[in-house]
Amino acid sequence: MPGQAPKLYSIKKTTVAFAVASVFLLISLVWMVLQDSTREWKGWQRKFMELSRQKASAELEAAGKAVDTAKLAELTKQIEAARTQSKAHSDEITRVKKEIAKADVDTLKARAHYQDLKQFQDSDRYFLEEYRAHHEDEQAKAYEALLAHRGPEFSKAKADLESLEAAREGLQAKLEKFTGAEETARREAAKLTQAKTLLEKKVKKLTFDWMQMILNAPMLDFIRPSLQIQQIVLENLYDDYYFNKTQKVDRCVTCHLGIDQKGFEDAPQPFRTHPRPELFLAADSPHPLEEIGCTVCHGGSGHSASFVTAAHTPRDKKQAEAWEKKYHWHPMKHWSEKMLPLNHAEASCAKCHAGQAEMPEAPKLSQGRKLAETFGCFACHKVDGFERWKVGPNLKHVQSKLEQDWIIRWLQNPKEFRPSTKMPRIFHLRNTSDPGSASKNDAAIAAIAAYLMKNSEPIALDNPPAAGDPQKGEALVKELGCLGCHSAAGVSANHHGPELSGLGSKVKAEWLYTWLKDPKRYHTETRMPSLRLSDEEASHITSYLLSLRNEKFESIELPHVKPEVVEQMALNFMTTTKRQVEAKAELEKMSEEDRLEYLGGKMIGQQGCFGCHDIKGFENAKQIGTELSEEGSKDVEKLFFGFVPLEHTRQSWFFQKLKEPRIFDDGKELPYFEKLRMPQFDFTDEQADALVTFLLSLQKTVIPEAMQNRLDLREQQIEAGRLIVAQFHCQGCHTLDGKVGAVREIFEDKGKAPPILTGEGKKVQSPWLYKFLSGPTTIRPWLTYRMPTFGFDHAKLTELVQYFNNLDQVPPAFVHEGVVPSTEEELQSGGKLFQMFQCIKCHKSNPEPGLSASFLAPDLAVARERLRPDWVLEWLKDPQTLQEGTMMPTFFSEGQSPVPDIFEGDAAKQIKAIRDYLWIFNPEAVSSGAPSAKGTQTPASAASSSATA
Amino acid sequence: MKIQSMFSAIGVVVLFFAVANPAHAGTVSGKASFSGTAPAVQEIDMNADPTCAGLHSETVTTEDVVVNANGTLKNVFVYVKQGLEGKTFEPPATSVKMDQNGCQYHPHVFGVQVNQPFEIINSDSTLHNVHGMPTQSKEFNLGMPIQGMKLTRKFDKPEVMVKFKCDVHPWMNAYAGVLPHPFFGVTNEEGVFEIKDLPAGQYVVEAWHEKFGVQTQNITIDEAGVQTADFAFAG
Amino acid sequence: MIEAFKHGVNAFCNPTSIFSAAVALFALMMAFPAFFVSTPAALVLAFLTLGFFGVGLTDEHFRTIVTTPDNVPIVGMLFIFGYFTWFALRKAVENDKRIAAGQPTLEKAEAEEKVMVFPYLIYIEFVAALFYSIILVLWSIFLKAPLEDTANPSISPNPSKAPWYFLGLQEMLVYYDPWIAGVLLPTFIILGLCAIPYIDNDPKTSGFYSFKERRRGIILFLFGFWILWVLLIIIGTFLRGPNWNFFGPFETWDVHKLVPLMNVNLSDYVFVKTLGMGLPKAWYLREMPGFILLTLYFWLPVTLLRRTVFKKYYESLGATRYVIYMILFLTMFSLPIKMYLRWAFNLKYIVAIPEFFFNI
Repeated sequence: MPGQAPKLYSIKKTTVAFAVASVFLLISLVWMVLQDSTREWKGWQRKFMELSRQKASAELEAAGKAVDTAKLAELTKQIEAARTQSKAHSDEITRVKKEIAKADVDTLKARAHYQDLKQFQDSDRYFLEEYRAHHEDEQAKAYEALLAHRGPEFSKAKADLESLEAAREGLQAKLEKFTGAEETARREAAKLTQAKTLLEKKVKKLTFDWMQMILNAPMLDFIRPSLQIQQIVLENLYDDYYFNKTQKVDRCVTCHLGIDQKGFEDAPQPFRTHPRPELFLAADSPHPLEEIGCTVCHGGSGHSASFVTAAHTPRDKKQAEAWEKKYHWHPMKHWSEKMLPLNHAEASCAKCHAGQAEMPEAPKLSQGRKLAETFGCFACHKVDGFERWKVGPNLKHVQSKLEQDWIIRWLQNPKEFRPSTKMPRIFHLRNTSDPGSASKNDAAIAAIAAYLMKNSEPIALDNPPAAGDPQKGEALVKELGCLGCHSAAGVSANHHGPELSGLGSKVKAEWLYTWLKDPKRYHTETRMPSLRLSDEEASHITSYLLSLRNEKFESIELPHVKPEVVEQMALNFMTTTKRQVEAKAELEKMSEEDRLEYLGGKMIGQQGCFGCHDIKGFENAKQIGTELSEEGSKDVEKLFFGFVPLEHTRQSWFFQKLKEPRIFDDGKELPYFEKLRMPQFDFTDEQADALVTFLLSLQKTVIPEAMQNRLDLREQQIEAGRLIVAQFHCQGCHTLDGKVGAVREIFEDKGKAPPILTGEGKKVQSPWLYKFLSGPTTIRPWLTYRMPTFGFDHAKLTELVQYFNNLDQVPPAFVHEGVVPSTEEELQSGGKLFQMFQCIKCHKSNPEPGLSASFLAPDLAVARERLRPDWVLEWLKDPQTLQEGTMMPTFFSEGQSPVPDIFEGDAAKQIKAIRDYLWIFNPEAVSSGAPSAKGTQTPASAASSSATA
Repeated sequence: MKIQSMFSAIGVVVLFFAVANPAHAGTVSGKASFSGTAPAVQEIDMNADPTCAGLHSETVTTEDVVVNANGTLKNVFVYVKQGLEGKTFEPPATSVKMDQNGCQYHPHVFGVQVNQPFEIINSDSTLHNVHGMPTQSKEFNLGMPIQGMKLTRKFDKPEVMVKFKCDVHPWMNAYAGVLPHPFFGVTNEEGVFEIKDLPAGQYVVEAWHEKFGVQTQNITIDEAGVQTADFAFAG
Repeated sequence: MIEAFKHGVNAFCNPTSIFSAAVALFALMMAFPAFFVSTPAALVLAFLTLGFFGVGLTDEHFRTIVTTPDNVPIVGMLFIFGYFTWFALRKAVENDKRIAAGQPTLEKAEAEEKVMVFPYLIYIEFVAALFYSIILVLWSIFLKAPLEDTANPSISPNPSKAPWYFLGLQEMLVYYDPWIAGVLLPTFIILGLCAIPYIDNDPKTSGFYSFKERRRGIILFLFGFWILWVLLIIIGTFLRGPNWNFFGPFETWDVHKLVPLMNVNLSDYVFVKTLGMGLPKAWYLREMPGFILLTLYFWLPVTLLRRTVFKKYYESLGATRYVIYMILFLTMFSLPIKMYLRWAFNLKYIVAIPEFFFNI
């Protein structure tokens, strides 16, 4: 062996290095294990355990106090007594117990023996049957013998077993005699403190003691940890990972532990119970937690179990800062479907509740949709399922309505003329207010006005017969029902139609007169109905409306339009299709007016005016805005933030775009025609917020058919009706479908307000309703408001009738409901009752002049045509319940009839008799002196009946 | 045993004393004077319903403003507004009557206690409908076609001046003051009202009139008995 | 002052200047290895790079790029490459000095010593392994795996970069047609590396570090490795941003950055720019200038150098190995030449035959 082996390096130093390395390795490994196991949600689960322990111990205290201590003390005394008493027989008790033990052993053995024999018996019987079936007789006989031989032994074993059991019970009873009293007392006491003991067990389970500590220790927590990730696996809800669907798994309940448990309503977040549990998450609610989970509505990453990676979204800046401080929150860069901020959570309702005009329990989303409909967003932006009517007036015959100068002044800034107008401002906005663009704006406005004037087909107008009286006109506007849609004459209950102000400096007299008389002549698809105004009424209203002037607007001086600007803009449009040279030549040929008109046409096309207005030459022009059908799932990168300092989220971009659309052109160098074109609507913050919720609801996610809230035929018909009701604003006058008629508040005496239509389906016959809606006739003569003629086509009429019927769960049947005529005698008494109740006093067929409104009621001759027979029964019983605030008094208050002698005062029979009589009632017969009630005939009433002949 | 008997004796005395001191309970009475020009008396045109017109020989005037001969005002409803808090009063079993006679409500202004039966009679041969419009309790509209027909109602919540009207005869109207206590009165033809056996104490008394609005006065009732409270309404 | 420094670095870092500076520095190092290898020079170099990184890390954008978990190993690699190249050159220079002075080389001196495998080999290896696993554990604690969005086949990330070792090739794609940069050159690299021992089979100087003995081979390999591979990786990782636009290390990556691209093919230069006549229809006529240039490039140097500079080398190699050597050598140098043609003349392709998707 070579002597001392040469050294390459000093081993001692390496050992030191070795020691240092191993210490550091140990530290880093422990650090790794700890770092991996101390998860955020474990902290929350510990806190929740502590919170529920405190709640349980509080309940425990309460339960403790609730226990009836006196009774308990008395019971314990009983137990004591019983025990001392049984102590006296202690030796006997021990003896009996020993016997019982022995008896147990014997019965055990006997039972085992019996069961063995039973096995043999059964198998022998099986073989016996088999062999007999196969006709192998001697085998069968052998088994038969076996069976026979074992028979008595088997029954003896059974008998022994039963006797032993009986003996055992006897001994038990003897023992019971001694300890029985004690047993029952103890059981009694236990029942008393049962609640308390349960809670004690619960509190014990919830205390985080050393045992729990070990079970949840980092390396040992795979055995049976009490802190676990809780998740809900949702059967038919899927996460879409680009052409690959996986079952949705929501782990939110790992931290939100109390979300579906009662009692944590005011617990600190994240343990708070979900608001309105009866609607969300309760097992019997429409959205049970096991079927719906959380992320389908709230968004966010269901798989992750930490606050930040779950992609929580703060509601506002303040909350964002608080979260940054508290949870080191930052927006998740790599998760596109972030959580909806809570104030927009309603956006997800549209995923399953498609096809409903009013979203149930989602007021903000419904308001957003309503706003989008009324402000005509769908005129420029295509949104699947929201193809609506054109919101603006028809401009095809505008020459007979407006002056060209007025159009120019109006387009400068519509709100100058009428601040409440829904028409957005298109020109002179933030990105087109530099001098260069301003002159182009003016040129464009002049051009559009010129185009509209040139392409307006003339239309025949009637002149008002006589100069009307403005005072009368104002009164008529207030009385006839114009306030159902318009705000006018200082009353603004409704804003469906434009506000009737400043018309004097807008329209021509003959146009207004013809429009009032028959709006459809000027604009076939207008929503403005005709109130069947007489010539005189129309001229009064015309003179009143024309008396309202807006001098300030009229005095706006028209901006000077430089012809070269017009030419340059026209050239710009021309060069899109022709080369520069040809375009110049073409323009040279055109006269100045033609150039202006050409530019006007092009500008209308570019600004998309045809979206809201019918304009000649743009009948089937395409919408100019981006499609918004899936705007809620649009990638945030695709939204152009430009130089506007905004958080990079959809909702903040939408909000900014709605409030100030042109801000995104700031700092951009763009020629006039490439600037942003979205007009300025001046939404209030609240309106913009609702619209943002609506935009966020247009999502791409497809929910499987099974989870959709599919509407059955009845609901679909109701929705179709609701669309028409929204389009023609019936709820401006009528209380209908849960909404109170807007004009009702104007009326001090509700009897004079338009009728409440809740329950109309049960009340009127479908054929009558169909005829009435197409051509209204007067039913309540005392009403000054007139039911307008909307000129519904057949489809709309049927939809409306179905709507009313379905609202009251009445199957729509377009068949007239007659009444089965009852016996002659009933009809007679019906007539007599009719006389006695003097119905004719109010229900006159031809109202006498000079009577105040409250004296009259609908004409009963129409009743059998109009009303449903069984509704009349309900009505006569108690009108107030069917139509609250009606003028019809209750004749049968508390179900008693004031007329004892007919049908022995049986109210129901009497009502039926009156109803049957109504079905054959004709006004002439009564007023021509038919027999009225005996004994009350006074000279005066005789005179009265003749008077009304 | 002696002590108890002594106590009971005192108790009786006190009780007697409490009951016996009606002499000390005061009464409030006064006049509702009227100054200024009385508005012209309007006639009611009843020919809309011949039965009503037939019931009256001479023309009938409205009862909203009735200035008596001695310059006082009729139909002024005077009641104790404050000072009775905490005390409860048994509603009397007797009912207050309102008669529809000659197509008019009699009386025009009256008071009724909460839960006291309130009887409406129709002594006309024509159809009346009593349309009571309380805002605190449920509105009711009862048809009374048969002559001599009676209906009773009860008001469950106090409300000063519940308006009654008849939809068949719009000129008919009446006002009822529903109160939780019996201390109210209506000025008669001499414009005098009287509120009897008001226990001693500080009170605020309010006078209400259909057209001339409301006036209040503070009064104190002590052993002196009769206490006067006059109200002056201006035309 | 930092801003000025940053703008200066951003400006300096455009492709032309960073490539030329690198080549110049490389040439200096190869010319005076002794100087660069000495400890003070090395310390200065190390201090400069560390200083640069230290200052750079204050810039928010630079920090995000350098500290993203998948770029951390690349930054580490730079320092490790630098160290080992320095270490090898240092050994080579020292050996050269020893050979010049007639002493035995370092390796020979060490060879005499014999030590036991245990503990000397195993023990130190074991301790090294322990330290190594400590680093890995700490690495795993601090740098979380860079999980990104769920892959969306319809949206390709911008910039979409290859793994770091292919960034060199991806940089070549800027100058070459994908066929050449993606297929031809990588095969030449691999074959070339395999062919080294066969081309340079001189047994004389093997087994020990030496610079002088194999000067040409080392320079050639280091040029290929450092300048054409590592530098391009650095450019690809740190200096290439969205739309493969060029961004300085402190310049935020703006997707909307618009840089004018006016690259023109050689055929356009010749026929349109100089001769002013339209491009001939037939592709072979159109690409004639390109072909001529290429043949000249691949034929002229081979014949000239054989008679002049490489004369002695030619004899030792023999004809075939010399030709192979020259082909590999010329293809390797075609990359810097293509780069400079692009930067100087915006020359896109020398030969462009879109008809067969073939361009050089």
